[in-house]
Amino acid sequence: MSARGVLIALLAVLMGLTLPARAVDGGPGEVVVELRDARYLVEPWHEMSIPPRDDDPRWRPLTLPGQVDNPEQGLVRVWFRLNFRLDDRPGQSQAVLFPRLYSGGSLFLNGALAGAVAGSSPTVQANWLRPHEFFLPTQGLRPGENTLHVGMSSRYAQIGFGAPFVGPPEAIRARYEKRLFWEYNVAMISVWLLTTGGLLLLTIWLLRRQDILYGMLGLAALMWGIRTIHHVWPLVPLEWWVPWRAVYYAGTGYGDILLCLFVLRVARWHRAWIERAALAYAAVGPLAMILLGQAFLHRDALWYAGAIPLNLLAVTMIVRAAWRIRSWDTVALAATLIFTGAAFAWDIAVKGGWISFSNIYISHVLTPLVILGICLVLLVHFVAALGLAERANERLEARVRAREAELTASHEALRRLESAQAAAAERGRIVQDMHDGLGSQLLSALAMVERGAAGEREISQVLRECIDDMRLAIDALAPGDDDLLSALGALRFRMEPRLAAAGITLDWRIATASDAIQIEPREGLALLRTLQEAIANVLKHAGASRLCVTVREEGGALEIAVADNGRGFDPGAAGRGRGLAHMRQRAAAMGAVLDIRSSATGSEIRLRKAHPATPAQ
Amino acid sequence: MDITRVALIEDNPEFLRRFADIVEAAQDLVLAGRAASAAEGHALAARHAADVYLVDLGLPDGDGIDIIARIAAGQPEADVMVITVFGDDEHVLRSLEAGAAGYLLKDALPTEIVACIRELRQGGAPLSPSIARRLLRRFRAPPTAASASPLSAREGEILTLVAKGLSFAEVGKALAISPHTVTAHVRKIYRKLAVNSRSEAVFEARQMGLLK
Repeated sequence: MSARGVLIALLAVLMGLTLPARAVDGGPGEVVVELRDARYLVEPWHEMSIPPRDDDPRWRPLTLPGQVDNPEQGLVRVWFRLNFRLDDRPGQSQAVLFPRLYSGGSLFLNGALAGAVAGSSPTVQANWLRPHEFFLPTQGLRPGENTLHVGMSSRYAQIGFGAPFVGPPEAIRARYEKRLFWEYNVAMISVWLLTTGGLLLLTIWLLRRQDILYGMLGLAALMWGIRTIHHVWPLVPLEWWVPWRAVYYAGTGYGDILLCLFVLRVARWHRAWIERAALAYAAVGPLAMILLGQAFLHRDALWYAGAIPLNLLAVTMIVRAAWRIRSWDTVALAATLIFTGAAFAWDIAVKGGWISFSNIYISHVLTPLVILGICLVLLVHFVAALGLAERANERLEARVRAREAELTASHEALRRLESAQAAAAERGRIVQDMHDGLGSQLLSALAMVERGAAGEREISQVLRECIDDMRLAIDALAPGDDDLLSALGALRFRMEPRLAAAGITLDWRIATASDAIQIEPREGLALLRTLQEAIANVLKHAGASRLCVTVREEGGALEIAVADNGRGFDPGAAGRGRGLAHMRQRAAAMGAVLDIRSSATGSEIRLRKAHPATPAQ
Repeated sequence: MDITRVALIEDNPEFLRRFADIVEAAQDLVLAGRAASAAEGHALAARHAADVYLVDLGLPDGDGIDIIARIAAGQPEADVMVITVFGDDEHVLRSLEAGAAGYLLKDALPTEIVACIRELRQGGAPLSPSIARRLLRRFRAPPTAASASPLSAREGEILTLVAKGLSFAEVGKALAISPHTVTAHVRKIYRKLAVNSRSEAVFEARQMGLLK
């Protein structure tokens, strides 16, 4: 069911609830008599009291449910005298129902006390917002004319009890029950609903201070709840009377003013000065009660009337807003407010006696439902906002997911680009390497063969060097193993049989601190090439019988030395010079120092490179 | 003097001739057969033609690895060496796992080739530092098969030293054993690798539900 449906149902209930105000007094065909002709007599209040004599000259006529004006501002006693006839039903008991014996009082049947309800006294203020019934036993009744005397003590400006009904006890009881429910039980329920609902709304406002509407409505509900307590607290001790009445006025005043301001805000009509003035005006009632006491009680209608413009303004504005916006919630709010206004108008009319004083008040029945209706409007807005937030969240999440996917994709693309670039750079280096190493060796071999200078031995020599160079590159550049020691071991493994075949003893010395020498593959290859070239030179030219290769890693510096006991060479000689220049070039390219010494008893080539180690990944 | 029968399985005619010449030149070696394709190689293996098989991996009609595995299974007393251009680790390792006892570079000197074959027949096996390193890594990998590291402490030491670039003689000196014993150990390591790889294969086959 939609929120709109709920509100329409609520309006229907509200309309339905105006019915009890009219329907409490039962249907047709009942043998119940309404007593409308009465006489009254006002006298000063005194402790003990019996009805005045019928021939007392102070008796005045009165048509019920009219009320009697209180000539004083304080406590007085008013006597009412009513007659009814029991011609046709002698010997049967009766009951009498007083719709509004709000001040309490004593009932006398044919001069004898028939019952009493605690009333106002110098120490107590009575305010019974409920019906009363009295049983009239057979023995007190007589055929024909019977007389009822009612003695009331009251401080109210107008004193009365509506028009009493006399009839068979069952019929009277049924009417009594109905009125009691609507006036008393419903009031009690209203107190609970309004105070708990108001506290709930105030809690919401405390949690979300920016939503002032919840605060206003919560406070209004709480005020109405406090005000409605007077329906269910009939006997107030006099020392509590003035403060309690002030609280009652505060509840009524602020309940009404806050509701009006709330409605104005909903109608988007917001004037700070009006709000301040209205809130200040609401304080006038309770303050006046405290300051003036009983005197204000008789003039509170003026204060109530002062709030009418604001109420009219609120109704006008919400109706205007409903007319302009035509959203279902403003329309519902306007309709609800009109109902509430009507309910209060009804209550004022009953109180003032403009319509039958026997009628019950209904505002306390309607207020909780009105507040509930407004709560529903707020709730619907809240749920809508929640849905909006959820959808916004979903959109946001979807957007974030899309962004994430984009980001991942672009990262992936970047990574692919980077690795493609790295691969391209690596390919470039390999091509360069083949060009410098293998390529130039093959070219020189070709040149040798073409000019006929190469014998079988020379060609096999050059080709072997080519293959050695390739092996070196494979050892140094093989992925996954950046350890120079491994490549050095492989070099030794290959060279040793050749040296042995040439009658050269190899002395291979490795002195390193760690089990591996981490080195960048390119630098490793350059080192290995220099070393291989040095060894090849010894094999080809030195005529040595011993070769000593030393690899030493010390203090971050790497040193490789190749020493032999051959006949030495002249570093400046043409043939050797080119090979040595090549070696120096390589050493310089990798930032190493090449040291060459040679004598008749041997030669030594020493390569030193500082900080060869690359940080382990 | 014992005569060693050598069979060559190699599709490149130049290399086939070079190896044939080297074998025939040696007094204690005799060429027992030559094959230029995988089919011919399988035929040689099927009739247990030789004591030592030199096998090239890249044959036009099949993989030399299969022939190695077949010889290792069907003729355990024979030795297989893989012939390779560069001695790159992956090929060699696969051959060792299939049951080869070592490898020969295609451009090795004749003396080297003959020495290798003789060493092989005496129960030894060649081992380069980079292969030693790979073997260490292989054996140290978390045991996937039922066994823990199948290497003995001594075998582990030998592999470690060879991986550092030491020759067999230096390894022997360092461990106070003869170089001959070192080569025998290396031979054992190869065998274990082959067994290990086979048991691993069985283990994995069982895992995959191929064997019950």
